[in-house]
Amino acid sequence: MADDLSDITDDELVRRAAKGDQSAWAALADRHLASVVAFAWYRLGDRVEAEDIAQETLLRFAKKALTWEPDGAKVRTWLYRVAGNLVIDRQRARKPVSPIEDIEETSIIDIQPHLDGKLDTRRVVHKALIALPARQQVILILVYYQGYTVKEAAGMLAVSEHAAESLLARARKSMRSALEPDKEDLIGAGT
Amino acid sequence: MTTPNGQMNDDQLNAALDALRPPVPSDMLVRRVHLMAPAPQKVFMTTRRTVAAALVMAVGAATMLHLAASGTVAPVAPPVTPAAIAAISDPAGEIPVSDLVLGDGNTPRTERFSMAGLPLE
Repeated sequence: MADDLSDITDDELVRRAAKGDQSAWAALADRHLASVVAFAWYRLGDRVEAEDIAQETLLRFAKKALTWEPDGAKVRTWLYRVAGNLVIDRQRARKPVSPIEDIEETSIIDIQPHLDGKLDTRRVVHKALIALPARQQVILILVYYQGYTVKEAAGMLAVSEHAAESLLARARKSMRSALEPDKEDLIGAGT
Repeated sequence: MTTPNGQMNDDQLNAALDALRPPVPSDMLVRRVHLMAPAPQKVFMTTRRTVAAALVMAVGAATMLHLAASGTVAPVAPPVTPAAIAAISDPAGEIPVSDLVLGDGNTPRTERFSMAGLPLE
């Protein structure tokens, strides 16, 4: 059933879901859930928290769907905005611990537990990503990991395309600086 | 190969970024989210109720038209006007005319009084 809905736009799926179409809602959730989980995970480094945030985000969207305006924001943009606010709430609620301790081992081990050599690399990179200023973090996630163009990311961040390009360049520069101490290991692990 | 200032070049940075692979949503999360489908607002007017309401309104309208056409509808009552204030009744003529005149607010006073209230000569 979900396959039949794969070509239908988000807005149409929302409209059907708001009328009680369970399969439309399931298709909509399947389309966006992984992205929202990933978005929260990149920013927090914790799988459990990322899933909590994704769940809360989708729950809010289920309520919003009843009054959804098709010509307004895109569904994905709305979800990222809500998830982003929830991430900020989590970050504020956290105890001030060092970022490397913030990244739970489970979130990385879950990916490829058998590659011990890769674990530290991932932790180092994630630590550097989480340490970025929020907007640099978001644009790097959107463009590099989520595959959005700079123009699309600019729209989601409500900045000009030029500002988004500048932000992305600063994010990459910050990442380079943050990874500088572990450069040799990272380059060695990548080759 | 690094950049001239010794930092990672773009490819090396991209390779490092590629090390991060997000987790896929757990089955439990997927099931939970599927259960969150929006609850559409309940429609209290069922089809049967809608038809019944329309029928009642139609019968009511037809009845009013019939009564209006047959002239049996009660005429509209004239607006109620307040009763006139009764004139001062003085059949024995005991009240001095001057007092009656003074009591009439529409009649200007003819007597003149000083500031102390004494009649002026």
